[in-house]
Amino acid sequence: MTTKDFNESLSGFTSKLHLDKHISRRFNEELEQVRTLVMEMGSLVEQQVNDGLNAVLDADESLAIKVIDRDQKVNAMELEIDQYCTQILARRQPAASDLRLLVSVIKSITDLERMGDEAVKFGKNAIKLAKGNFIEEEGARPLVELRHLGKHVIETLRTALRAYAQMDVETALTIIRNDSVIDEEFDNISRLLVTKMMENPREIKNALRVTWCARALERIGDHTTNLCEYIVYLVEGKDVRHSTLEQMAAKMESE
Amino acid sequence: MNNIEITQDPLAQVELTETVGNIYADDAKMSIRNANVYYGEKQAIHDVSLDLAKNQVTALIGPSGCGKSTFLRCLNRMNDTIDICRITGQLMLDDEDIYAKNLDPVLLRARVGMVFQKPNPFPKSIYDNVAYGARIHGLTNNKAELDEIVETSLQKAGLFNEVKDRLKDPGTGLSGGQQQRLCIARTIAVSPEVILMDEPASALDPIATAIIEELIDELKEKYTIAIVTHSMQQAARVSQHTAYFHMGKLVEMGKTEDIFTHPSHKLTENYITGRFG
Amino acid sequence: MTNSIDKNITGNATPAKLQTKLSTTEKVALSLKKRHQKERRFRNTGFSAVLFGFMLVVILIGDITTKALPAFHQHWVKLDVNYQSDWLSVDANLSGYELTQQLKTANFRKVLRNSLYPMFVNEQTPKLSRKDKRSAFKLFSSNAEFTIRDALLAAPEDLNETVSIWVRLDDDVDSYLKEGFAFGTAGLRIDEQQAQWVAKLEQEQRIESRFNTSFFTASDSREPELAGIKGALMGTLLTMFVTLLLSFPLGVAGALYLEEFAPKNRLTDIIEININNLAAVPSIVFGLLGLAVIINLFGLPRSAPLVGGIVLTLMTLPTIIIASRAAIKAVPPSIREAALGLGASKMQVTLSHVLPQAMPGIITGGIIGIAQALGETAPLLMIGMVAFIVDVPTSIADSATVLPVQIFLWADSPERAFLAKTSAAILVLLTLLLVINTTATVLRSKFEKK
Repeated sequence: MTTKDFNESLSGFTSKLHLDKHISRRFNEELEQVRTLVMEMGSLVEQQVNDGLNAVLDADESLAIKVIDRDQKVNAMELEIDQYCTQILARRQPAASDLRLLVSVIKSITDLERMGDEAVKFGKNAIKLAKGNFIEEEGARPLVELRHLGKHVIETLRTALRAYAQMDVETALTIIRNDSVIDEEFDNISRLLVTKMMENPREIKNALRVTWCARALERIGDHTTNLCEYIVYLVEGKDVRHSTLEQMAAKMESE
Repeated sequence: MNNIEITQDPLAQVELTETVGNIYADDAKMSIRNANVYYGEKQAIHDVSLDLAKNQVTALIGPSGCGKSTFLRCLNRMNDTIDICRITGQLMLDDEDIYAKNLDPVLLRARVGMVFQKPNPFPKSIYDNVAYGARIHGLTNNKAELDEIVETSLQKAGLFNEVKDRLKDPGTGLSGGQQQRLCIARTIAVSPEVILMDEPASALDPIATAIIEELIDELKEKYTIAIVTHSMQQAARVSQHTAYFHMGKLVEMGKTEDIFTHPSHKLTENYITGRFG
Repeated sequence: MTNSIDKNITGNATPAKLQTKLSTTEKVALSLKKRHQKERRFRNTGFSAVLFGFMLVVILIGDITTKALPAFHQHWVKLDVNYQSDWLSVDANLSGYELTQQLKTANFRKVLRNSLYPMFVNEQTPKLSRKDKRSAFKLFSSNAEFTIRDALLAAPEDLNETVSIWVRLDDDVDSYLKEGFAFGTAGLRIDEQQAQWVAKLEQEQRIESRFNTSFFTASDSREPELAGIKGALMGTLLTMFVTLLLSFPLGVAGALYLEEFAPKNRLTDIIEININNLAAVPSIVFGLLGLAVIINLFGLPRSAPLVGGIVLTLMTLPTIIIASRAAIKAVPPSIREAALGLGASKMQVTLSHVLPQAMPGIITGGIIGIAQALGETAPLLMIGMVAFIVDVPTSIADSATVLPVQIFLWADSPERAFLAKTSAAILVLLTLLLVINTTATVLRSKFEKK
């Protein structure tokens, strides 16, 4: 996330949720701090996913190790934000939008942490793939597909985080609606890899590793969708989880 | 779809025309339609309509001077005692107009009891405090029956075990929380249908408050309750429906869980989250 | 920003000022000394004011008491009375009822004279001159004649016997004995001859000082030695009874109506202003009203406690209403609301909650009103309660006078002995006031306990 994005997010998030309008200035600052921490964690996770994927695609072992190590920081941030939110809940007993903000933050960071975990999976697989020469020999095609899927997932994640920063419900809803695209792409990669495995049983191990990476990307896509659902909940107060697109549309229409 | 107030300019003056949310109850014990209250030339309540759902707790919240207490006091005609107070609109208890000419306010107040902000036991014994209502309404002439009424009322108010050995002691000698429960017992003793509570716990410590809140929860099994409170947490804890008043108008009414998680009106939002603007 | 201001201040300040720049604590400590001094001065002023007032009261009470003391005892003298039937001009042979009838109209003055002249003769003056006789007779109370009559009526068998009987001395002699003036002092109303006689009587141990019961059992009289306060006391009690009976219920009812029931409009405002003004109207105006309306228009008897009571009621009503209204206003509205909220009617709220709560205040107001009425003279002068009344009033329609008027009358009398009587009557009035106040305090605390 660039500095420009961050600054934009600052205005969007703060002004749309009126985080500067509390009678208690301290409360404003606390919520602002939560926002900053979440955004920080978001950009960290985004970087983790990006680096992890690159490690896989480029068979870059050192980058992979870096990704694995950096997960500690993601975990620590999750704990920190969690604790901070708990404290605010206990001390301020927030209601309405403040309550929704904290609840969605608590949920969001779980998803972000999971994404971090998926990034670690990339790292681990990347190390193993780097040792297995898969990339030079058989992996060219699947890896192109994987790169394609990865690019899409990361783009979606980046959009979702920007939507989060700006409380952009429309964008969030679009992402939720388009979740099936990622699923389809994942199915394509799976099919391709299954073919590869049947053609060349010696490479099953590596093919499975690529499958797992694709699976991880698909999971990241799901977590991104969750993030977007939290945005809708936070802004609209409507829970659109576990609903079909039709149900969701109905909910959004209803008062 | 984008009718969410918080996306608008927070400083924009909100012209309130209609109440947001749902004012209707499936099973209304009291229903108020287009109530206006005037103090002399000044209008204190503007066109308020709402239902009090039977055997449920309805909380009235809002900033000081928003008219919520005034509105509550209209429901058992306590405002009759103020000469310059004038009320228009339709206020119904079951199917009776409580401002009908042929309806005696004394009878109404026996049906719609009231508990006040400050515990106000009479400077009499605990027993006499509870028995007073039954006595003045001539509910019984029998000493044993009166004892029975006093005991059950105190029990319902959760006070009996604490005071059973000192029923002859003055009611003013009890602690604040006990006094308030005594006042509730006194109200219950007349067997009202509706109990109005005007900030019943605002003068009490948290434990006494919790006891009163628990009591309110139990009482709703038998009575319809309307409670005015300054504590939003209290409204959230005890009520099933919440009505938010602002400048004499009913801004929003709805289920308590909705009001406290995602209120529809910007003013409600600002009030319950402690925002200005 | 703050720094620059600081610099400005310190920059402009002279070095001397800089040195004397004190911390807040030091400034407070400095001012504290002054404040404590002020506080002490204030406290001492208050204390001396109280002390001064207290001293005045002590001096007043002490003065009145010392002046009143002589009134509580009086001197009696023992006479050897010879009930000769021919002096009495009664038939000694009669007995029973007929004798009693004759004795009632018999000439006891002759018996008295003939019995007492021998006491004052001696070798030098075997026979008293007319002048001496008159001055000897003057030593004794004019009531002595009736004292010896009553003694004989009580024991008719003493006819034609000589009996020792105690009679009162005249008030001038009484005063002379009590106060022991030198001759020539103003106010001394006995001459040297009489003084010698009194000395002789004392020598013969015929004179005795006794507690003055007649002060409490007799009514007013022209003779100080016979005058008592019973009539005035009864008059006062009857008048107060009427006043209390009328003003208290009327005042409380009026106050309750105005506070609890009356609508707040221009009319009630006018009534309120008028009540406040009435409290400040000179009391004699009420007397005029009583004379014009109650006596002349309604034809009630003049000088009667009934009329006095009505007039004093008019005078005390505003006081009672104002005090009662204040007391009713002070009843916390929460109590009213509580009762109303339970469905009590307006009257039930008023009678069972407001009135008992306001009672201590109302009683205080009532007592202030009654105490005011107790000491009132002016309006009663207008309705004729200033008359000289010898009979003890027995009903509220009898002619009567009241203690303050009695005090006023006695203070106006020339006889020296009335001076002590006046003070004694004041003491009685003060005692009455004390009794009323004590009763009120007891009642008050009883109501407050509830």
